[in-house]
Amino acid sequence: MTRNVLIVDDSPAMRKVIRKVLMLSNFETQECFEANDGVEALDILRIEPVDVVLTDINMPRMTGEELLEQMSQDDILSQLPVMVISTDRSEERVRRMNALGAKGYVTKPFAPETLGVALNELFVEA
Amino acid sequence: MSVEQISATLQTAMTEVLESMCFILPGEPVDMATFAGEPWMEHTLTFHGPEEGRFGIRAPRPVAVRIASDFLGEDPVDLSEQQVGEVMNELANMVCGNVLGHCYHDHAFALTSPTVMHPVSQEEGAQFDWEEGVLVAWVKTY
Amino acid sequence: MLPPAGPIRGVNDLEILLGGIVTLISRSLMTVGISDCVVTADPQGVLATHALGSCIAVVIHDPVAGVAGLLHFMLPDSSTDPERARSKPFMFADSGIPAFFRMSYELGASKQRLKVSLIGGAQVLGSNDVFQIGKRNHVAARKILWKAGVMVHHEEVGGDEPRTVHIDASSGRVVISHGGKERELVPATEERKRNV
Repeated sequence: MTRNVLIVDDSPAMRKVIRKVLMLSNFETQECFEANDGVEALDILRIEPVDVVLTDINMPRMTGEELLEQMSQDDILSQLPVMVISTDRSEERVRRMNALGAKGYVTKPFAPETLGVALNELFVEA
Repeated sequence: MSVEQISATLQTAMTEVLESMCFILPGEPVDMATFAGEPWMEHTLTFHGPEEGRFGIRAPRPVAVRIASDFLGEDPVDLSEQQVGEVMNELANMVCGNVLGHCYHDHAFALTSPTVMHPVSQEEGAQFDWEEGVLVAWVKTY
Repeated sequence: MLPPAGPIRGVNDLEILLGGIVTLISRSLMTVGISDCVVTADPQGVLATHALGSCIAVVIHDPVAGVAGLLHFMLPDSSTDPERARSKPFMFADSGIPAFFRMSYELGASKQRLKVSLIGGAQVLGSNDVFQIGKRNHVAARKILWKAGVMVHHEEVGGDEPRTVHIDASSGRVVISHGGKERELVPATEERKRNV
């Protein structure tokens, strides 16, 4: 089953690495959309058929946490599996993101294989 | 927490980030004459939370190119100046996040998007050496 | 030139002098020495390497092409000894891994299908390994594979005891003997199980 993925991160370098891990892990991704922050992500989510969201937290304009809050208030978007990929490893943040519905949490830095395994678990659920 | 205590985690943070994402291990210091005349690239951000402060990393440009090449898994000649800067930005983000994670296990921080610092500062914190390069990281609290 | 019918073995000085790959008579167990490799499409083939200390075994398997390979390299970087790298490319990660993968492609393996395992990289007790060769070997292999666009599927690295590795060419099953115990690192693939 092919899926459409949305990568939300203000770092083009990190988006590129995540894309590469997706490709090398042989996930059947049909479209891979990219957003620089939560605002761009919501714009894409409103018009594109996204199946999985991978999001950073610290971003300009709208953070990943604010993005999840917005998504949780929408009947359709709240159903999408979201994985957080962030430098923030604090228990407080992990708790908050999980409470907002995050299905996975990978901390940066990560070994590519670690992200691959986490993505696999998320895709099984998607 | 004192800035000295936070700075004490810089080395660990650089080691974890460089090993995981750039496949670089600490090693013998490189001869700094190798980089004589080379410009340095410095990238900084501010963090906000239980502690407020500024964080920065810097490296000679050829070292930044090598780090970017290892991070992205691409040949150095294929990388643009912009891509190298973007990787240094992300490196600053990851090392700073790692430092704060070591120091404050149960407190979330907001990190601003890293930006280029020009001219390069003289701030000192910790230096990560390996056979092919050097990376300096520093932290200041307000 | 016809593709080799049996396994292709990496390097020894004689093979270099002969200018290429030597085709060996098919047999069940093929032992891979230090700084050497073997790639095979023989469904009866079993590849093994012994006494992996700080060295790394790169084990590959393409379940569709039925190709398996095992490389046993010793050091991370050939730039310290270019002469040696020419005569024994499989001694080093940076010269050995690319050549090893090319050999598998010659037998029909595909990069996208290959399952890759890394085993070894120990800091063997009493070896006074101040240079952390095992860790450097592991990180060097990971960097080369990342740059080549290859993910590592399984790893068993580090520790302080030597390991022995076997891979069954047909199923891709990888078994590691370590500290007097034997365990399976990679189970046989489902596709191959169904074909048996």
